[in-house]
Amino acid sequence: MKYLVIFAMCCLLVKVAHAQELFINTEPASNMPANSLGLRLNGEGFTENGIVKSQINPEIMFGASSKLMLHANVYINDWYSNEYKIRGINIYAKYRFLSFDKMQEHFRMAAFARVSTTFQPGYNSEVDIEGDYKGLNAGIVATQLLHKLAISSTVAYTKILADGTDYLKSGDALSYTLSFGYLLLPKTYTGYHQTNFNFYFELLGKTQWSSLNGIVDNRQIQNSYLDAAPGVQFIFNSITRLDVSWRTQLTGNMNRIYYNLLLIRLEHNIFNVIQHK
Amino acid sequence: MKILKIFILSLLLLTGSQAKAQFKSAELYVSGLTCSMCSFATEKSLRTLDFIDDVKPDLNHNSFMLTFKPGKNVSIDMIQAKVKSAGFSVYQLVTVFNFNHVKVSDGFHFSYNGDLYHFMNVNDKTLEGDVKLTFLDKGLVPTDKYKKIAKETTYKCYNSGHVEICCTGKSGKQRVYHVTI
Repeated sequence: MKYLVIFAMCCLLVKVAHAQELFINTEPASNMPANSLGLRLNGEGFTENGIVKSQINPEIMFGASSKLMLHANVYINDWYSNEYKIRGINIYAKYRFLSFDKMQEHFRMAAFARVSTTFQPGYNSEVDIEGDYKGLNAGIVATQLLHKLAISSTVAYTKILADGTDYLKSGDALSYTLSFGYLLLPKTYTGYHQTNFNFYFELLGKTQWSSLNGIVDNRQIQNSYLDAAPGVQFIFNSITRLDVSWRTQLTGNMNRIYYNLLLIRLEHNIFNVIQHK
Repeated sequence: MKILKIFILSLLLLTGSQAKAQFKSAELYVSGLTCSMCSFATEKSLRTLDFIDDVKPDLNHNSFMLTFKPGKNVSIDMIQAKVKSAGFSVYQLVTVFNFNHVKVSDGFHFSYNGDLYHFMNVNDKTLEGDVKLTFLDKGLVPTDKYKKIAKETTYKCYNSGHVEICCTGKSGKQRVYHVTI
C-alpha cells in the first residue's frame, strides 16, 4: 500500500507543470554559478526515548567554475553523548560533465566525490561519512527538467576507512535516490522579490555491507533501508532559502540512529565574490 | 581621381566597411533557466560586464533586456561567457545596432571593435538607424540550430568563428560573428 501511495504521488508530481530542482536531501546535477558563495546552516533533529537529539551542520559552498562546485561541512551533534561534539568534517566536489539546455528545459549529469575525516570514534552502525566515519564517497547524478518539472536521480558508492576504535570494522554502501520537485508559488513572476514556495518529494535508499569490530570471524552484514522525505522550501528575494523536510523510513532492516528526521536549513547566496577583469 | 574613389569604395565594401555607430541594446534569451534564483544569478553575472548599463529581466520568458553604455565597446563573446558561467546557455541574442546608411547584402561584413560581423541570409538593402541583428554563431543559438546552419552554409568562417578566405581572401585570428536581420 505504501508503495502504491508513493507511485501515485510520483505520477501526480509528473503531471504538475511547475518544478524546482533545488532539492533538499540531495544535490541536483546543476551547479551554483561560477564565483558565487553559498552559506548554509543545517539543523537536524530526532527523538530517542523521548529525548531530542540534534545536529548542527554549517556548510560553505563555492562555484569554482560553471562546471565545478565545492562544499565543506562541519558536523556538531549530541547524538552519542549528552554534550555537543564536533564529530567530523568533509569536503565535497561536484563536476557537471553533461548539459543539454533548451528553453525552460534541461538535462544535466554530474559526477561527485566526498572525502571525510572525524574527530570522535564512529558509533553508528550505518555506513555514513557525513559526520560518523572517515571515508570516501563518489557517484553520479542526473537531473531532468521538463518545462518546469524536475526529476533527479543519484547513485553513489561509499567506503568507510574505520580503525579499531570504531564500532564498524569495515563498511561499503550503495545509495540511490529519486527526487521530484515543483513550484507552487508564484504562479506568475513579477520580480525577484517574490517569495517562491516549492514542494519536494524524495526517496532515499541505501544498501550496505559492513563488519563489526570485536567479531572474530569477519562476518559481513548486509542490510538496507528506503526513506521518504517530503519537504517544503521558501526562497526569499531569489537569494535566501529556507528548507524544511521530514524524513521517515518506509522499509528497512538496518539498525539506525534515527528512523525519522527533521531537517531545517537556511541558505544564503552571494554572487560574484571574485571579480575577474 | 574618380576611378581611385570607386576603387577605394569597392575595396571597403569587399573587405568590410567600418561602421561608425554601435550596439545600443540587446534582447537575450537564456535556455535552461526555470526559477527566479537562476535568473537572478544570471543577471548578477551579466552586470559584472563594464559595457552593460542595465539589465531588465522577464522571469516568465527567461529573457533579459540589456542596455549598453554609450561609447563602451560591446563584446558578444563576453555576454555568452557570463551566461555560461552562471550555468546556463544563450538561446537567442538579438541586438540593436545603429547604422548610418550602410548597404548590406548576403556575405557583407562590417567591423566593430576589431571584430568582423558577417551578414547571412539577407537580401540587398540599405540599413539606416536602429536595426535588429540576430546572432547565429555557435554558443549564441541552440546546438541543433548551429549544427544545421554549419552543415548548410558555404561560409568557412561560420564553422571556425574566425576570418577565413571567404571573408577577406586570407584566413586569420580575427573574430567573425554571423548575423541576420
